[in-house]
Amino acid sequence: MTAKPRPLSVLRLLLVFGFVFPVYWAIASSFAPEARLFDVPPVVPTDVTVDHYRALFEERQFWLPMRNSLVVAGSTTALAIVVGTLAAYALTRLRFRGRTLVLAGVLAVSMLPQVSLVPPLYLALRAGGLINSYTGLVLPYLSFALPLSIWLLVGYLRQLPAEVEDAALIDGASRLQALWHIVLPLAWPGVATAAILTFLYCWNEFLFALSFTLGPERYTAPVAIALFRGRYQVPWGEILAAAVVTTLPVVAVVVAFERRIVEGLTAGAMKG
Amino acid sequence: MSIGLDRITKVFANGRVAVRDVALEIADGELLVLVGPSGCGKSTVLRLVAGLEAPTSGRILIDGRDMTGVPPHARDLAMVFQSYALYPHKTVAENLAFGLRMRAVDRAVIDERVRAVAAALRIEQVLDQKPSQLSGGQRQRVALGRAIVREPRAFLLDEPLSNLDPQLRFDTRAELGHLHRRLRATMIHVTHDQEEAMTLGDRIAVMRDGSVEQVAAPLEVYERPANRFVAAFVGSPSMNLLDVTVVPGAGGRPMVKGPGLSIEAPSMDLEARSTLVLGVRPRDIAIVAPGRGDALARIDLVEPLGHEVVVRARLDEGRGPGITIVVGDGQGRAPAEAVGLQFRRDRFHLFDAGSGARIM
Repeated sequence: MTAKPRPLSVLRLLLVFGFVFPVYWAIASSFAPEARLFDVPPVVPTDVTVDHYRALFEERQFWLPMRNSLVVAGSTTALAIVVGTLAAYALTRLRFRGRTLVLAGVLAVSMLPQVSLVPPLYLALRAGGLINSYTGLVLPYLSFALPLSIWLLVGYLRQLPAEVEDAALIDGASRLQALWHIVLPLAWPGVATAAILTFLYCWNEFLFALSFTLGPERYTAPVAIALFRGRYQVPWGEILAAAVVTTLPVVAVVVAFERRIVEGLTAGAMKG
Repeated sequence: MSIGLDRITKVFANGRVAVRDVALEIADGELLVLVGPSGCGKSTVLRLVAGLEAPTSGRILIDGRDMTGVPPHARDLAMVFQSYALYPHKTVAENLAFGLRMRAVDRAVIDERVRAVAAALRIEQVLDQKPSQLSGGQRQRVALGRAIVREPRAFLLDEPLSNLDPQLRFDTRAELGHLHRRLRATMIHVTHDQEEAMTLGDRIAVMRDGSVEQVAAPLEVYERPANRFVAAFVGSPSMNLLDVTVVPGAGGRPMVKGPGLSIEAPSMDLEARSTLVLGVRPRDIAIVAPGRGDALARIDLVEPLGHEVVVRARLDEGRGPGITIVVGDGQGRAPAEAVGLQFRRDRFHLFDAGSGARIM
């Protein structure tokens, strides 16, 4: 603890300012009347109004894209974590032919530029009658969510002590029981991290959602916000209000999981 | 429970041969110690018996039945790991109970057995704590307790004492001996510590580079090592191994000659001019006046240990190879002093210079 200002802390302040200021600006502006949106400097809130939020939910029915986003991102994350954990476990602990090939394949799939996947996925989804459906978004989302979660979880599971699991197997647990009783509780921080990142990725996804939905009843939040823009005007106030509303579930998810990511969970298993 | 390894070979995916054609029979209730330098494959043998690894060829027999492909949980063995491998997210009580829960034992029985084992191992007061809160000795006892509580018919112990400090190791070693006598369970104990092997085992199996070099009772291994490697590995300080040649001596009796060393061969039927390795344990050499005895040497270093003195010397008046002698007391011996060495005739070991196999 020193009172002397150091160059490092100045840099830190600048960094914090750089990150925090846009967020502050968005929140402050979303509560500001239309006429004051372009004030310079834009910071001081004097007359607060909730007009933008009212318009957002009453005229634009923003709860609909929010619900769509929650359903799609939530189901994708749940599926990606369940399948991803099982896959990552098999890839780290079981020995089978072509294991590295699978791992490389998983990585290769996630290398493809997203936009190159749109036409084939569109044709496939149309053939399956899945355009403009939740399933029609969850399935394509899994194409990036699964590689992401598998790679994160493989990295995490690899550093868990294998002997603890061996001990469980000898204690009479089957592979699945060892996974459930021993590996998962220890891998929880890794699973939570993978869940957060997958959810964020799905929540912010724009291209697939724009390409595979046809109307407001299935638009996700990012698509809906992008389409707020009218022919003659851009409703900045409502866009900013929507941005604030859209951020809230993400913050909730991060806070919910972050608490569980306790460091040193594996302490004491080994000789120390 | 008897355990048999029938010509087991294990080659890892990277091509390393960890276990080479090992055949072992462990009788019901026997304590066999697998001993050898690190990397000799002894832990792999244990993992093969446990079912954590599958052999590349050969069979694992339990009570005479082929169990080679049977998963670990169906073998009814318990294992104590070198790292202890406790479940870090579970309390000590839950750690102990886990194996019984997996086997769907009645809850009341579990509680009773956990309490009994905790009392026997003096860990009752830490039952509610997590492994991270325990001392090394307590963790070791929990690991042991987790094996005992299941009342398995065989124990596999993978260097369970190596992470304890010397005093604790000494005590726990004695406890392990008691435990074996009390439970009458079959045990395979892996260690790199030859002293631990000597004190604990009914028999010891000495391993090197994936092969078993000798299986015998501890004293047999000490007194009649099967080859040069076992001779050097078992016993502390190590046996002295000297390159010698056999020459015809006066009166037709062959002589064993080395640098600064000339001894009447203990047997007549040694081929003249053959090169051999002579093994003499440090405690089988006496220090005598220079010019007497079998060899001349010059003292390098005197290490008094209290109950005995380790003397390091060089043969051939300081020009030859080093030799270690252990005597009851130093009797004023000092470095640079020239001495004679008298070897005990009945404690000679002779090994083939090429193969290292015991000749006599």
